Amino acid sequence: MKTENLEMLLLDRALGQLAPEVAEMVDEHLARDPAAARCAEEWAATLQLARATVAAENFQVGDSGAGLARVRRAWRWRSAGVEVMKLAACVALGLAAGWAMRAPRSMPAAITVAGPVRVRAMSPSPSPAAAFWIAARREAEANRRGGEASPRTTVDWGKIDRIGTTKDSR
Amino acid sequence: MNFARAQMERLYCELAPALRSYFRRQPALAGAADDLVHDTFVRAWRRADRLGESVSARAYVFGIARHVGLDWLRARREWVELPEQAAAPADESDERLDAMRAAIARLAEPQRETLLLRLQQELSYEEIAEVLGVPVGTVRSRLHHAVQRLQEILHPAPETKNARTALT
Repeated sequence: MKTENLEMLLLDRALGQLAPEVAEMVDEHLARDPAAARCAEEWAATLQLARATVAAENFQVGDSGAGLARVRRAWRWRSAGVEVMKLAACVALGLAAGWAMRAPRSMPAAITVAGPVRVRAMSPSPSPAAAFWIAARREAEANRRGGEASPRTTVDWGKIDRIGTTKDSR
Repeated sequence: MNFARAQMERLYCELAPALRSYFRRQPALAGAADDLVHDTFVRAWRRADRLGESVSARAYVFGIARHVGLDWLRARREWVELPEQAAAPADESDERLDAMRAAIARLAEPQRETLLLRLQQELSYEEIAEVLGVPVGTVRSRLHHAVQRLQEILHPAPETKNARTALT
């Protein structure tokens, strides 16, 4: 039997975790092997002392707590992970900015023209001022209609002129 | 519902002292032991349906208690630095107990936690495995290494080596 296997069995025996039939077999082996029996006694004595120590009412775990070390370790890894993520984000941002601001692509050496493009000249758009209803426009309109003003726009210009004269004279 | 409540009350009466002791023996948690016991049972009550899936009620409650303690530590980022070794009791005169206390303090944390669950709380291998979320073989291995390490610390190296050699 390997030493480690026997030690495991001795530990199980000392902790009362062996099945009865296995415990019986181990006891038979210990009865035949004084060295193993002495080792078993050492294990049992160590466990008994450890049990007495931890059973003390004021016993506390020696360092900063059973889980504290694990939490600290996890927090340290988490902090390191956050730092790595920040660095990765900065690098990605820099690469994206560099890609966006990179020099424009060089033009091709030769440009092939497909053919002449026919463009129809467009008449210039009339000035907006031409749309106002000014006297010159009115006159032109009247001439176009044969000297006859539109019935809706019949205006007695002589009367208006007279009124203007009267107001000015006042 | 009433049955579940009665069962939880029975569990509380049975396990609350052990849980309080479990928390008080961890310096970082000792100050909040009572609150942590209550938190443990509140969480256990909320997940009472999982009680039947557990190895035992004791393992179930201690498994929750362990997570409650870790969550409590995690929630407080400003940790108080504690002395490297717990202060020895004034009335303790047995040097062997002092030496064993120092030796336990020097164990690796997983080994120490496993050993304490076995020796303090008297949990079985299966229960410890459930509390820690590891296989039973790992529990055995940790206990083996823990006791082996204690022997190495407490006894001079030649004796331990001789004893191990004598077994082969």
